[in-house]
Amino acid sequence: MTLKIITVLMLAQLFLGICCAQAGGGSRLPRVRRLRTDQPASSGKDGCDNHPLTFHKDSDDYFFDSHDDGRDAWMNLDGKNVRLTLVRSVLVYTDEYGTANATYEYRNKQTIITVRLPFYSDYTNSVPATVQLRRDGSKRTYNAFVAAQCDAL
Amino acid sequence: MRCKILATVLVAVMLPGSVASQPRLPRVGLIKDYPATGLAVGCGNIYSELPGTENNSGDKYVFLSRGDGSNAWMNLNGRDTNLRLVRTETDFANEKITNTRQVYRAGKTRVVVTFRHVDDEQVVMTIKLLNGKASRSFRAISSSDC
Repeated sequence: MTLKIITVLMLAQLFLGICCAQAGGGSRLPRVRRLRTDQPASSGKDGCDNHPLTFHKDSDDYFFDSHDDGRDAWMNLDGKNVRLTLVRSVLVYTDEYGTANATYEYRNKQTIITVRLPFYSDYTNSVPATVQLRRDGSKRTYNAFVAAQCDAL
Repeated sequence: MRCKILATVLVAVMLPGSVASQPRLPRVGLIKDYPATGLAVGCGNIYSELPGTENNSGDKYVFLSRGDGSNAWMNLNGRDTNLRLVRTETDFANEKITNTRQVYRAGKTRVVVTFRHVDDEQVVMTIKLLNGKASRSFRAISSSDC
């Protein structure tokens, strides 16, 4: 009898384990790659009024771009350039000249993408930023750099 | 008897303190010198009036700012005051702004200005003043030029 109960419990545990593993597999976060030049993307990485992000300082491996108000944001997710849906932006000002800690929250299907630009101002160059992807309790954070926003820099 | 004395001492100690620490909110008036705010020129400025003062020929603006919330002005305690922008929060739906919340400071007073975009035409604006536990809010009508 005891053996039967133990067997049933073990089977139940195994079943639950499989279920949980499947749920975990369903929350796979998309992979972030550099924006492809042969696919649609934001209005451009050159000039002013945009937020291009690179993986490395002073490099051209752009993986995110948007307008300076956070709109028209693009990322390469799972090898495809996708336009993100802006949900919310928060600017916390640190001085009277408009320098701010900026946070932009986007959605792409079930994935929530949060872009944080500390020390955001009109003339930022190679300032550290972070991009966090979240989905069903999983999250992954990428460290990034804000590339020059203006040609003059 | 001892209890009475203790109670009297407690009241004597606590009452003036509690009255003195009662935060006061500034009186809100209409901006007196609109050209001096620098918002008489340029595009995309926000002009806000109190309901019922739209047809005033003289002073009529209760709040003025640039479109992004910067260079904001209110008349507080009879003086045109430049508010310090602390925080801006914007909610979007289908790439369109649905709500904007701007937090300002003027001395110890926090001024929270919210714009709720009902549709393309209609925006409901609320101005809230806070200082400690004291708060007062009122509706305003906003418009933008250009």
